[in-house]
Amino acid sequence: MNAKNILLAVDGSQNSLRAADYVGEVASGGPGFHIELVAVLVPPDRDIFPDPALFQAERDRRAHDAVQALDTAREALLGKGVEAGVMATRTMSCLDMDVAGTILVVREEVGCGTVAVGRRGLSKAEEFLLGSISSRVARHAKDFTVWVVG
Amino acid sequence: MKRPPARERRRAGRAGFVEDRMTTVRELLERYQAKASLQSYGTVYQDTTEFMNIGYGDVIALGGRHYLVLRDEAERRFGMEDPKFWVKRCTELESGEKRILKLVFHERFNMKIGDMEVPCYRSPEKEARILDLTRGDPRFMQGFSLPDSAGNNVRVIEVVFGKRLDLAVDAIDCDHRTYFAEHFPGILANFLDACEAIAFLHGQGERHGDIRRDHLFRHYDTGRYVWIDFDYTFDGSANPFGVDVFGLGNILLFLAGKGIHTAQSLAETPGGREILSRVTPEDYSVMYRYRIMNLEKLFPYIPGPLCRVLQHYAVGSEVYYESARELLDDLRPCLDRLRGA
Repeated sequence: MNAKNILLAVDGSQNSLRAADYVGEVASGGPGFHIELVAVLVPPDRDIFPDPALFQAERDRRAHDAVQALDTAREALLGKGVEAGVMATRTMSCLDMDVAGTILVVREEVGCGTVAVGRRGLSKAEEFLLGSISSRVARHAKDFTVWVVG
Repeated sequence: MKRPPARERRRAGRAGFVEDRMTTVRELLERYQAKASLQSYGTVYQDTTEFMNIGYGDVIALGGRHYLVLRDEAERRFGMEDPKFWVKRCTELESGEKRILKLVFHERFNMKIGDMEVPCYRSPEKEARILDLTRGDPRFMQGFSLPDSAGNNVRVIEVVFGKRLDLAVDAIDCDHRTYFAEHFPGILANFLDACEAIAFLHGQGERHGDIRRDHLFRHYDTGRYVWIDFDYTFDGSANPFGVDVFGLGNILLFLAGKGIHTAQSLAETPGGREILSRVTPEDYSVMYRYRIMNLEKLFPYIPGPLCRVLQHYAVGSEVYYESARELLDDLRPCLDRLRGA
């Protein structure tokens, strides 16, 4: 697995921006890197938005946010000196209600040897209940490296 | 939430909620020779939108059937009666069977779990979906949903003929060692079955949403455990089944310990204080920092594998269960061990 083939998962948060900065620092230092920027699009739950109009509005908002998260991370990488030609961006619909699982599916598909994610800095109780995407990605890591940027 | 008095409700009925004007409650009772003797005859409703107006003595007409309302359901928690005005205890006039009608009430509120608040939603659509998904499965309450005349998704639920599991366990009159040796293996076997039921839901992309001790019943006839109430949901994309898995752990703790053991309860006795002196911060629940998850310190005869399952819910754990399936994979061997011992 090529460790220079990096999947950078972003969600627009400060933590994922820090991950983008870190990846930028590393990838601007030499040749052979490819950065796959991925934003996982989590659709709103229909049960929570029973009104179809509100559901659609929320869906649109999330899609817009995902694109914006990718743009922001891309700008951060360019700012670190990463060449535009080594980057690809994609939004990916969340599979089986599982953001971490979706990231891992993309990694497999693209063949990334490294996954970089930001860490939200959750408390134990928050991690237990809400779940930590970075922990889940790290927990399921096999044959690739995970960078968790805090 | 406060219900309007009966006189106002009757006035509201006369003002426009009566749609079956040709038939009165009295006539319906006569037609079906219902055994109920009412103190007052109410109104026949086909539109249940204004559920606060529907009460004792009214009839809800739905899908060609008639449901005589006996009372609002209520939950008893922490010694308080909490009425649920959108849930009606009824008699189906055609069959004489007891039914529970859950009317549409979209509610958003924060579920408090320890120090955390999780935004929660009440979804009739979700409950109706799970009723469809689990039809004929004795591990779940049974029922169906129908739209009323205004399109409200009304769920018609069969009353579970059973006792709340926690009350059944509470009623077992013996010390913990005897309970654990003689009763717990059977209880765990049934609880595994109940966990399998939740794993089935998760496998279908669904959540129970409100797994609590008082939402699991032991059927009087079969002894099987039956889940009730599926209308809660919440937004949890990073850990979609986390709240359910947490609920299962809480019930397991209760069952294994024959109650919940806290720092406060231990501090009440000399023996308890001695145990408490050995309890470390890592032994407490990750969500409730006063509940002791490490039961090994209280009951040293509880096998290690079962204690380790419970400790996945403790402050000291580094890895948490993500699904009911993961919990089951660790819990099932515990039963084999108990039965083999």
